[in-house]
Order: sequence, then structure tokens, then C-alpha cells
Amino acid sequence: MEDEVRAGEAIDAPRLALERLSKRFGDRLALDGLSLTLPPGEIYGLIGPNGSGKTTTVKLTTGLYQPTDGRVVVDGVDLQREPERAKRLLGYVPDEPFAYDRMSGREFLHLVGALWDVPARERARRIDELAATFAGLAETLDGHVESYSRGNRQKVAIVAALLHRPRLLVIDEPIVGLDPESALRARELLREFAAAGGAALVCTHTLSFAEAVCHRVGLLRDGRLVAEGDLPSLRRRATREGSPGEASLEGLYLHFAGRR
Amino acid sequence: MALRALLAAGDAAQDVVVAGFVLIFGLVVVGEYFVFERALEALHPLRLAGTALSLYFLESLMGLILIISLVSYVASGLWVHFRAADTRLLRASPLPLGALYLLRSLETFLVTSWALAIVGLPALAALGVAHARGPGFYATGLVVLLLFAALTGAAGALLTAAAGALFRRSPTRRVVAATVVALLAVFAALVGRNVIPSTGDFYTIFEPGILNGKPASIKFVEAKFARWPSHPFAAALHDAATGSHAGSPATRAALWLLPAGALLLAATAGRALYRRALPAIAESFVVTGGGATAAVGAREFPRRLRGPIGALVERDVLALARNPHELGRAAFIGFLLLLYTSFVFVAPLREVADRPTAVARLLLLNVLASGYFLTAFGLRFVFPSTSLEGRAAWVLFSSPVSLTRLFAAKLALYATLLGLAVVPIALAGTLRLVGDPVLVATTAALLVMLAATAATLLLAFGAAWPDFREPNPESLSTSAGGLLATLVCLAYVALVGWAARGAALARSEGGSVAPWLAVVAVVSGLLVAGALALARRRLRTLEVA
Repeated sequence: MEDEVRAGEAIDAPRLALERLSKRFGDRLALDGLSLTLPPGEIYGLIGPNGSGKTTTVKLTTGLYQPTDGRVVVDGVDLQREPERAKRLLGYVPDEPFAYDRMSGREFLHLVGALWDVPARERARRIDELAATFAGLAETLDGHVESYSRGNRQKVAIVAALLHRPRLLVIDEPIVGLDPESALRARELLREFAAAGGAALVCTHTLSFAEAVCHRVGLLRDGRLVAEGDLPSLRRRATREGSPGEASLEGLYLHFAGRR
Repeated sequence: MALRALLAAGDAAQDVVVAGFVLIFGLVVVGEYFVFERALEALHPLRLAGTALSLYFLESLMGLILIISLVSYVASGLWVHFRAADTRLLRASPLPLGALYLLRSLETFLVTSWALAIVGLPALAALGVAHARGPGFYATGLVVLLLFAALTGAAGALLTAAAGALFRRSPTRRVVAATVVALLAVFAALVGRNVIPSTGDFYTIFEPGILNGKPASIKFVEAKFARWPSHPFAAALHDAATGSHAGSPATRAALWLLPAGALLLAATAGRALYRRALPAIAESFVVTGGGATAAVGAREFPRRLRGPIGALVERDVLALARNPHELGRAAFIGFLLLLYTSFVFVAPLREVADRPTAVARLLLLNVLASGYFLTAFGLRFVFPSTSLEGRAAWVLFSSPVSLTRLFAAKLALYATLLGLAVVPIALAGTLRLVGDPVLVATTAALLVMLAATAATLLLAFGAAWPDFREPNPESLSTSAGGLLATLVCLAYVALVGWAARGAALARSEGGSVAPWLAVVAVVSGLLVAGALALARRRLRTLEVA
């Protein structure tokens, strides 16, 4: 990936550092002191049951929520202190990829590119280049977004997130609605992005996807990180705790989520 | 804290909001009653001319209600009948299309019959009190208004179904815009020619004379409104109030035949048109730049403005231009503005130029009317601006765009647009009313402050209490934040109106207008500063669920 975005203070700064991050909604503590670090090149999978705090983590990381405590540092830039600078380094794919219905997909992508100050010519080139990743997307881009299927909206959101060459990708459910071929392409895109020095925080219930692309996985339960590591280390820990040695990520999930 | 809880919106908060809007409507109705009652009382001593003028008053009022009801019905009805959120669900249910048409017609009638309620009822009460009539008059009056409601509702449903059938083949924006503008221009011309009395009309009314046993002045008014569908209803109310006989036996028969005929046509032709139009519209009604498909072309964006803020502003304009429902609402408020413009240019304002009290009162009304239009436009298009980011709000709020800069750009845009839409017309009215350059300049300054402050208040309140889950601007403007914005705006408009009146009276007595300008400048400054501080604080901590 080209290195267009100016990074934070430290050259070797992690792409993302969450430091004792907490979020309270009224009396409910949705996230309780979460800390994690993503170095360049890493794809980190955050898994956990519904209501465990995954989406809250994503929204805190992208600046859509304000933390009750702790901080989010993107490539050395504190998100709360310098939100505009930090967001410039971020690409985000939400769990519900709604776009502006009365625009075409192409207009929407141009708008997103303009918000991140991508020059018009560069935008046009990147849109064509990224849209070509997904079969049939380029032909769909000139219709109104409101007529798009869930899968096409997801593809547009992925293209939008990559348009400005971010340092960090934050993805809430990467392949929901995608057909198998597009899901494969999304997986390749993510790997290419990480290989070029980016880092990705991926929240998902699709454990096969996480197993296939994530270098490390963290399991959230009740707003707390209850397990973290690569697959072999998680298996070793699960074995020590009495779980079968060759468990899949699904088995590990059930084990650490306390479901068996 | 209580205000914060109210704005956070719960069930109890909703009740308070409804009560708040009922209170506002109640105050408007009571205010209208007193204006109508005083006007009708003032006509009494004028004998024959007074009778003719009260008939003219009723004809104008019923004509206005008819036009406003029809335009409002079609503007809302096109959305309610064809594009309401639950249309797909209801079409998938076993509900017959005819029943759906009836349901939609009733829904639209309920939300668009406000003109009859807030203008017709106080007029009826004022008419009864001014002519000292008993309960029989009010019973008759209510029957007349109900028949009139049946006529406007049925005609509205018929016109909506016909418009749907006309537009069912995905017309281009230009075709829709041209049709709407042409229709509104015709309506405005009708109002300008007939409803608003000109100097010539007054001369005719005040000429004495009897024609075929009836005062010439009454004959003149009857002839002027004879072709208006509202004429039988105005004549019936006039007869019931004065005991005279306006109109012919045919007019009296039309009182019953017109509503019956309209209902019959709406139930047959209207229903048939709706059954033909709905399936086609539900599948294909997308207003595009050209052609009949949903494609908008391989275009770059933004096309006119530059930079992130420019792109967002252009997106807002594009979203409005591609939204037929919102365009319809804008056209409706624009139509009311056009009616007001007709009044400004047709009414014999110069005739009262030598009476300072009347001039002051008219200047007050001019500012109040401007304030109404600014608030109406603002509530519909400025207040919901932040909330309409909607389910795609994640795009803006996760982007590196400075929300403060975006707010400032939107404020500049909306203050300019609101100012351009309202201030020139209000100034034209002022110029027709007064020749004193100081008073004209004072009014201009007051109007500019009014537009800028109203735009700031509405944009700031909308940013402070957004609701990203509600896609309907109408519902957004009737939220707790909308209620608060409406109350503050109306109070502020009243203050500016009072200042305009005070300045006019001071000027007529050789005094200075400076204290009046200073009061408005200080209050405007405080309101703007407060609203900006509120918006700035809220935007910094705003969360997008």
C-alpha cells in the first residue's frame, strides 16, 4: 500500500492501541477496561456472544462513541484529543452498511473520498480499481443505493473504507450478505491490506472467516476480554482448562464463552 | 434536568410534546378568533358595504382554505398514498387496493385538514359572535364546514390519484418540477385575482345601488366568486350569520351536490386511478436526472462545490432535489409564500399609508408573516439537517471532517437561503406600505436579524437533539427538540414584530428607532451565542448508535 497518510508521533507505533477502554450506558457497563494493541500487519479478530461489547468497541475505536474511561490511539494519534487527525488514518465498515439512499454508489464513494480529501482523479481511479475486485459491482455502482441488495451495500462499504488508503481498518461483520466468491475476495483484500503494513480489527460471528484470516483472536464476554492469542496458544490454554486439544475456533469460542 | 429528560424523549415526553403543539395551535386559533372578530365587528357600521365586505371576507377565507387544503392534500398525499413506509407490507397482505385507497385517503385527510380546523373554526366562532347569533347558527355552520371538508377531502383524494396516474411512469425531475410550478402558479394567480381585494374592488363595494332587489355590492362579490367551488359554502355561512340571501337556489343546491359529487367521483374514478397507479409507482417511482431507469449515470461527485464541506453541502442539495416528497413540501410552503406575495402586491396597502397606527400594525403583521415562513421552512429543512444523516450517519461521524466547520457552512447556507426566500418579499411589502427610508432600513435590518437568528436556532437545536432513527422530517420537526425550537422561534418572532411596530410608532411621533433596533440586536446576539455554544458542546460529545 502507498504511504500517503501522515502517521502519529512514533514510526513504530502500533496501528491501534486501546488502553483500559470502558463504556457505560446508564447503569450498564458495556465495556470494562479493554486493552489491546495491533501492530502493523496484524488482523485481529474480536469474537464474543451478542451483547458482549464487540460493536461498542468498534464504535469507540471509530469515534462514534465517547469512552467513559480509557483512550483510543490510532497510529500514535489520540482519538479523543485529535479526532480529525486520528480518523484520517481509519477505514470503517459498519455492521449495517447503510449509505445515502438518494445517491448512486459511485456518487457515494466519491463523497466518502472527498471527506478524506482524496483528490478527484485519484478517487475515480481508486473506485474503478477497488470496484473491479468484486464481480458485477462496477456495473451496479451507477444505480441508486436504495435499490442495492445487502451484499452490494456491503461491497460498497468495503470499497469506501479502503478508498483513502487507511492505516487501520475497523470492520464490524465483514462478510454478512456477501456471496461466497465476494467473501473470498474480501478475505484476499484484507490479507493484502495487512501485508502492505495496515492493521485490521475485525468483529465477527463468522468464526470460519476469523479462523482463516486473523492472526490473533480476542474473545469478549460481558465487556471483558476473557481470552486472547493466536489459535495455537488459545488451543493450548483450552487444553489446560480441559477442552479437546484440536478444537476449532468454534470449539474454543464455546469453551471461553463458558457455553460448555 | 427536567428539560434534558424531556428532550431525551420517552412516553411521558411525547405527551408533553403533543400538549405543547396543541397549546401552540390553541394560541394560534384564539389569536385568529380575536383578529376575525374585531374585523367583522368593524364592518358592522358600514351597512350595505359592511355586509358585502363580510361576504367578501368569507369568500376569501373559504377560497383560501380550499386551495391550501387541496395543495396540502396532494403534496402529502402523493407520499402517503404511494410511498408510505408500510405500503409494501400492506400490498403483501390480503387488503384490497380499494380498501388501501380508502385508508390512505382518510390518513391524508386527517393530516391535511388543519387549514379548515385552525382557520375555519375560529372564523365561524367570530362570525357568530360578531352577528350575535344563537346555537342554531353554530350547528348550521358546523354542518356547512363538514360538507366543505367532505368536498376538499374527496377532491384531494381524486387529484392525488390522478397525479399518481400521471406520474406513474417515472417522470424526470424537470417534468415533475414544471408541472408543480405551473399548477402552483395557476393557483396563486387565482388567489391574486380573486381572493385578495384590490383597490378597484373596494371602490365597487362602496358604491351604493340596488340591482334586482339586492345590493349591487353583494351582487359584485357573488359574481366574482360564482365559479369557485367554495362559493356555496361561503354564501351559506353568510346567510346564516346575516339572515340575507347571498347566491341563487342553484348555489344552495350546490352546497349538497358538490360534496356528494366529489365523494362519488373519488370513490369511483379516484379508486380506479389509484388501483392502476400504485403497482407501477411502488416498483419504479425514482426521480432521476433523465430517462426512466433508476440509474443516475457514471458521474463524479461533487460536481459544483469543492472540499469535504462542499461535498456534504452538495449532497444535501442533491438529496432534496431527488426527493419528490420533500420537494412537494417545499413547494407547498413556497406556495403559501406565493400567496403572501400576491397579498403584498394586490392589497391596497398604500390606502392606509397616512394612518400611523394602521401602518405600525401592518408592519407587525408583515414581520409575523415573515417569521412564520422562516420558522416553517426552517423546521422542515434546517432543523432536521443533522438527524437526516440517518442510518448513514456513521459515514460523517467516522470521517475526519470537522463538525464545527460543517455546522458553520450549513449555517451560512441556510441563513442565506432563508433570507433570500423571505426577506425580499417582506421588504417589498414594507416598501409598498411606507416611504420613509429610515423605517424601511430599520425593517430590513430587523428582517435580516430575524432570518439569521431563526436559521441559527433551528440548526443548533437540530444538532443538539438529533434522532438518527427517524427518517421523516415532519416527525423530526414535531419532536421535543422541534417543539422547543418552535417555541423559542415564535417568541423571538413576536419580539421582532413588536420592535417593528414600536419603531414605526416612534418614527411617526418623531422619535428614534435606535432603541428598538438595539433591543432586537441584543436579544438576537444572546440567542445566537447561546445556540452556537449549545451546538458546539453537543457536537463534541454526540454519539451515533
